[in-house]
Amino acid sequence: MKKMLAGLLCLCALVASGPIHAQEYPTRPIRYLVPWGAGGITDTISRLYNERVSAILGQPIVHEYRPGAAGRIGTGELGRAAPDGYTIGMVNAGQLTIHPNLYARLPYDPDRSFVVLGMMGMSPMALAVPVSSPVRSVADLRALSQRRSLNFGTAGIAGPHHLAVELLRKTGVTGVPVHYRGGGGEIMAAMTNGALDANFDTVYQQNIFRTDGRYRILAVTSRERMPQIPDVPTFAEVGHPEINLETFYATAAPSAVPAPILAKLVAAYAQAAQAPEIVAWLREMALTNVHLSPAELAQYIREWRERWRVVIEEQNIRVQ
Amino acid sequence: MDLLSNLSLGFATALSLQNLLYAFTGCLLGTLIGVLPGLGPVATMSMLLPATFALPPTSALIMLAGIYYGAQYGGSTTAILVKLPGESSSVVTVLDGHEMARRGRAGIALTTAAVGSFFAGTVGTLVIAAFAVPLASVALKFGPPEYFSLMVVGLIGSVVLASGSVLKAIAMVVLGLALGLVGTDTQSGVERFTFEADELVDGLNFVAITMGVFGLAEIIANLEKQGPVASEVTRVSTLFPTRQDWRRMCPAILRGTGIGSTLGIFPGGGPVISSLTSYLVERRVSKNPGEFGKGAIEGVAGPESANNAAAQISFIPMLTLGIPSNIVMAMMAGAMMMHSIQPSPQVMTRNPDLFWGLIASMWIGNVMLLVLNLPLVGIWVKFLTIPYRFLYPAIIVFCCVGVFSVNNMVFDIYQAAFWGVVGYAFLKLRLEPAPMLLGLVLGPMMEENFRRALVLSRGDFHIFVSTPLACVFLGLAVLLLIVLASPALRKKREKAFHEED
Repeated sequence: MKKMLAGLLCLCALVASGPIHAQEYPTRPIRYLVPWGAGGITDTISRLYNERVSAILGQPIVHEYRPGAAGRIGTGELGRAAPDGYTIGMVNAGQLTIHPNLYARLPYDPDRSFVVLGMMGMSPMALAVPVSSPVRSVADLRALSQRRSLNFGTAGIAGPHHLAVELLRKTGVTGVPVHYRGGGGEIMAAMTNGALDANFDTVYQQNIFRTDGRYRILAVTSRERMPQIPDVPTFAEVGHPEINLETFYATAAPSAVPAPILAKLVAAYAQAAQAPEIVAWLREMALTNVHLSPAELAQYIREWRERWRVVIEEQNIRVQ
Repeated sequence: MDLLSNLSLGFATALSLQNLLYAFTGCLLGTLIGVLPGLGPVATMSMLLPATFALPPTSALIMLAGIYYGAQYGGSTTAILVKLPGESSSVVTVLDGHEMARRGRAGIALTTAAVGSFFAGTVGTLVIAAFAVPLASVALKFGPPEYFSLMVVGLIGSVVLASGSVLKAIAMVVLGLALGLVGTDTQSGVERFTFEADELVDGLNFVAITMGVFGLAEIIANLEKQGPVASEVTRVSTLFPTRQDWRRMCPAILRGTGIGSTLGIFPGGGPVISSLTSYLVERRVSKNPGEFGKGAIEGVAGPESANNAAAQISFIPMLTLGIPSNIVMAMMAGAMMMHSIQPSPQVMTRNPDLFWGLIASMWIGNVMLLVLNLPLVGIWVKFLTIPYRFLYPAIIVFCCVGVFSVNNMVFDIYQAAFWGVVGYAFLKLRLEPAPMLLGLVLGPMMEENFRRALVLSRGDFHIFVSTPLACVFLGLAVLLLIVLASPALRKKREKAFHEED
C-alpha cells in the first residue's frame, strides 16, 4: 500500500511538472491515442508519422488503441486527457465534421475540446462501377439510374462513403444505399457478382480493384486529377464541381495545451510531413497533404462540418 | 510444374536462417499467448508491429503469421485444461476436451488437438499453394442470401450441439440472438439497447461474455466446494493416445480437415462455423453419440482440425484478393502497407518470394509447433496440480488482462464480471452456454445479411431462393430441423441424458 501511494505521488509529481517545464518538453514518453483498432490505414499512417516525430522530439511515442463507436470513444478520451502535451491523438472527419450533425450527445465538444495541430493526410474518394457494367461515365450512370433503381454499396450508414452517395443525387444519379459493415471484401464481391451497381471508396482501395481488372473508376472527388490514375477525370471536369469530397487523418491535442508545447508539436508534425519517405508513402496510398496551421485547420474543420450538415439535412439522414 | 518451382522458391526463402528464426519466435510467442486465457494474437501482433518495421517484409510477415497459428494451437490448451475457450473457434473444444481432462485424459486430449491441428495445417497449406486462386473465386459467389442461409444452418446446428434438453438449448440460442441485437443497426444506424452508453454502440463484447460464462462462472462454482479442494483433474493416467484412441481420432481429423478447408474460405465466421460443423458431423457419424459431451475424443479431434484448417485457409482472401477476412488478417495487411506492398492480387506476381515464402513458412511453422507442443503437453498437464488458491487468482488476472486487451476498455472487464455471475446462474440451472455464444456470434451476421438481402431485392423474399448455393444451405437447414425433431434421435438423446444422471 505504501509503495503504491509513493508511486502515485511520483506520478502526480510527474504530471504536475509537465506544464512548468514547457521549454524542456518532452521529458518522458508521449501517449498517442488512436480511436480505431490496430492494423489498417489509421494505424499505419500514425505509426509512420510518429516514428519521425519521435526522432525529432527525442522521446518515444506510445500508441494506444481506443476503438469503438466509429471513433467517438477514443476521441472522447483524448478530449478529457490532461492538456500537458503527453497525450495526443488522431482525429478524423467522422468525429469532428460528421457526427456533430447526427448525434445530440457526444463525449467531446468538436470545437472546444481539441486543438488540431497537424494534418497527416487527406483522402479523396473515387466512384467506381464493376468492369462488366455498360456504364463508362457519370452521365451513363445517370441515364441508367433513370431506367432502373440502382444499388450503391457503402461502408456504413452516415459514413463518408454513404454521404458521398447522397451528395451524388445532386447530379441526378439516384439509387439505394446498401450498407455493409466496414465495406472491403463483401462490397467487392457484391460489385463483382452484380448485386451492386456502384460504390464510393478511397482512391487507393478502388485503384487496387481497378488494377485487378474488376472495377472501372468513373471520376474522383479531388480538386485535381490523382497522379495514380491520371486518365480518370475529376467530378468538376465532368460538370459537377459540387462533388468535391475528402476525409482526413490529423493529430490533435486537448485544447488547453500550453502554447510553447503546442508550437513544438506543430513544428514536429510539419517537419515529419516533409520527410521524403512520408511524401512517397502518401503518394503510394493516394493521399494528399498540404500544410495548415492550427488556425487554418480549425477553419477547415468548421467548413467541412457545415458542408456535411447541408448534405445531412437536405437528404434528411437520421441515425437515432 | 509451376507449383513445384513456386514451392521451391518458397522453401528457399523460408529456410534461410533468419526467416527460420523469425518463424520460431512467432510460433513460440503465439503458443505462449494462446495458452494465457483471453490474451489473443491481436494484442500481441499490435505490440510487435513496430518491431517489424526494421525487418524485411517477408520476415515480418512470417513472424506475424507464426503468432497467429501458434495462438490457434495454444488456444485449445486452456479450453481443455481450465474450460476457457481462448477464441470463439475453440468454444466447441470445451465441450468434450474439458470432459476428457476431468476424466484424467487431459494429456490425450492435448496430444489429439496438437496432432489434429498439425495435420489440418499441413493440408491447409497445400490447399493454399495449389488452389488459392480458384477458391478465392468461390468466396466471391457469396452474397447476403448465401450468408443468411449459412447462418441459419449454423444456428439450427448449435441446438443439435447441446447435450441436455432441446428446449433449454433452443432457449439459449434465442437468448444469444437477443443479446446480438445490442448495438447499432447496420441499415438504419439506430442504436438498440445501448442505454446511451457509447461502449455498447458496437454490441456486447464476445470475449468478455466468454470469459464470464466459462472462466469466472467455473471458478465461482468451484469455490462452493468445501474442504481441501483437490483438483478433479489431477488423475492423469497417460499422455499419449492408445491404439484405440488413434483409431477413433484419425477419421475425425480427416473429416474435420475437409470441413475446415471448405468452409474456411468464407470471410467472417470461417473457423467458428467449421469447428461447429465438424462437431455436429462427428456426433452424427459416431457409433456412440451418447459419449459426446462426456469426453468423446472425436469431439476434440474433429473441431480442432477444422478450426486450424480454416484459420490457414483464411489467408486466401487476403493473399489473392487483397481482402482481410478478420482482424488478424487486417493487421497482416497493415504490416504489408507499411512496407509499401499493396495487399492485393498482384502480390503473387510482384513479390513471389514473399507470397511463396509465407506459404512455405506456414508448413515449417506447423512442424515447429508440433515439435514444440508435444513435449509441452506434459508440462501443461502439471499445471493442473497447482493448488486452486494459486491457480484461480492467476486465471482471473489473465482473464481481465485478456478482456481489456481486446478494445483497451475497462468497461469490458465489468461486462466479464457481470457475465460471470450470469454464468454461475446458468450452471445452477443446468443451462449450457455454448449455444448462446454461437447465437451471439451468428445472430448479428444473420440479421445483417437478411436485411441487406431485402434492401437489395427491394423487399422481395424470393432472393433467398434465387441462387443454387442459398437453396442448398436452406435445404440443409430443413434437413437438420427434421433430424432434430425425429423421434429416433430424441430417444437417443434422452437415453444419453439419463445415463448421465
